[in-house]
Amino acid sequence: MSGLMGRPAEFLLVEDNPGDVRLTKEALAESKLYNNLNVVPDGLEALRFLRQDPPYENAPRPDVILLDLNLPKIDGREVLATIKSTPEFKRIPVVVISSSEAEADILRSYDLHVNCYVTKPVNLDQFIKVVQSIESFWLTIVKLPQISPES
Amino acid sequence: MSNHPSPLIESDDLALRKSFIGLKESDFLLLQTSLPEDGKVLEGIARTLNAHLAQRDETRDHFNDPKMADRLQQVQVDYFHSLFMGPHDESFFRQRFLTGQRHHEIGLEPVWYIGAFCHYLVGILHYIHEAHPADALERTVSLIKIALFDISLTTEAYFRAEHEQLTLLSKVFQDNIEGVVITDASGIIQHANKMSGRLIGIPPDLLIGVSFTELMALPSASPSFADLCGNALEQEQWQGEVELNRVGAHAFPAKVTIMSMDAAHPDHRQWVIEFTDITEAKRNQAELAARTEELFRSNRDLEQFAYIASHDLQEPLRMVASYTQLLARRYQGKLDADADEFIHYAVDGAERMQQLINDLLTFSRIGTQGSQHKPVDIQLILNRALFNLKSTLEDSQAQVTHGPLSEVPGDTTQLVQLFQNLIGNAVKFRSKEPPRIHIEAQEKEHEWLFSVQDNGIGIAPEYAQQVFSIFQRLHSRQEYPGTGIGLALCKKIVERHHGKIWVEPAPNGSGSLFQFTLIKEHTK
Repeated sequence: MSGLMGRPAEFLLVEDNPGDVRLTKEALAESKLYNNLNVVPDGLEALRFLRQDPPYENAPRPDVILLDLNLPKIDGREVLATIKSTPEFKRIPVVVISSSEAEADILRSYDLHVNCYVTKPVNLDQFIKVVQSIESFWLTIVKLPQISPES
Repeated sequence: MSNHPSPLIESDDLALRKSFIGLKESDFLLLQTSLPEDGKVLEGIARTLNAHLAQRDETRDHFNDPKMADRLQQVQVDYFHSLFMGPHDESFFRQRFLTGQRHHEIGLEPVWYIGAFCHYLVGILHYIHEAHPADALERTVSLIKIALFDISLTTEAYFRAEHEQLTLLSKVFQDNIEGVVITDASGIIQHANKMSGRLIGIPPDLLIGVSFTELMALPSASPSFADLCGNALEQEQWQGEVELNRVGAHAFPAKVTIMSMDAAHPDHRQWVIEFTDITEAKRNQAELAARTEELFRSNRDLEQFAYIASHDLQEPLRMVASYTQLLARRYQGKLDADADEFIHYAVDGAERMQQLINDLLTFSRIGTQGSQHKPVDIQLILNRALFNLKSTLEDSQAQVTHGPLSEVPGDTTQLVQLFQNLIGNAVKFRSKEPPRIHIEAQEKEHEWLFSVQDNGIGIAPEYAQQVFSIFQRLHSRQEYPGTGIGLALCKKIVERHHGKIWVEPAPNGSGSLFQFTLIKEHTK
């Protein structure tokens, strides 16, 4: 909490399924934490958002990135690889939130230095719990560096 | 050697032979009185002959063995004694004939027999001339008659046996199910059997005089007949595939074997060439390979399909379930009891479907993953399976015991799953008693036999096969939840490990005995 200093927690959700976007919104809406959910529908937009390329000139730097793996244009794995190999973005916690339980996807994500990998539960209560856990863990429990990295 | 008894000499034939030589009763009477009864004379001859044979390279071994020498000497003495003493009836002459056959069997060539015979004759003639000077000539004539008679019978029998053997070998050659031709050193066919003619498409006698090279359908790059013969000389024989011409038809692929029959001079060497038409074998082989490939591909496609289908099914399913639940959450109490029930069934259905999809995913992954088989300690496998089942085992107060376990080559994840499913199954289908599960490993010649025995409700023998089919359930979901994939998964895992799995009623009382094999060495 202290790190946010009164501003809303900025989430970047990279998700092409509007159903999932809405569910994540619902879950975060029930949260007690003051948050703002930014949504982009594919990997290309995600990277633009992070780089503040037009039309994202005023995009905030996200506190947590929620990343789906199977994305149009630029795949989630590639987005992850780019974020984790870019000095200015690599410290942003990335949570892969995917419906894939395949060992290969999980291994690949951790090899690309994902901060954590969770699967989307079918059950709504569990889904809400997962989203809220991510939020509370990364925003209130985990100690993250305060200084913005140099570009 | 030939086991065929030759037709024995006929009585008429015998009489004829006697009359040609002029052998009469009077000769027999003279012979019977020509040697002393005690056989000393013959023994003396035998001793000098055998002493002589003991000096020769070919016979030394036989005559230097005293036991063998004594026996041979006795046989010789008895033989010549009976030559003189008779009785000279039909059986006597038959006996002579059998002797010739016997010589052929043991490989005693006529030249040796005649040589020995001559030695005896000389010795006996000396004796007769000393002992019977008055009628030595008559006795000598009788002796020569019986000697020639005897030699003609035994040598004839010898060559008849030889002929029979050659006839047999020739028949084997002629009727061989493979084509066989014999060529001279330059490859000109000298002999051709029936099948060789059938394969080439002309009567076998027309093959004689033809060069084997002409039978070969030689693409320019392939080795020539001379090359093949060169190979045959280097390694005892050459075997390989050669296209052979067929008169009036297409050339055919043949499996050809070339063997060299060496002679004193390389120019006199002969080649024995065997060949068979392998068109059909090749076609079958190609078909089998194509079918195997097809099967392999369709299996892979199916696994891929199951994986993709179940993976992609998750998304819309999650939408259905989540939004139904969101409805419930948002409108709880604002709708009627029916609506709540409907929502319950919708959510329950979606959850069950997810379970099915997950199971299907796991099942399809067994095929696509985990082909690396390394030695794994089953004790560790079991420990992990028990750890995964910890709460289930505690809740049911289950007791799991086991005998000494072994190490087998396998995939750790899959084997943990195997034990976990079998033990989990035993707990799930428990009777009123707390579950008692015992695991044993028994060493067999090529494999380990594992058994998992429980005291549960058991499986009726008529369902022993069925339980291993995918999505096969024996009970309603209300009685026992689950998708019915657990044992199908076990079967697939065991089969991926080249083993077998089966179930039978536990030997004492209720419960099931699951058994499966895991091979000791991974042969792949």
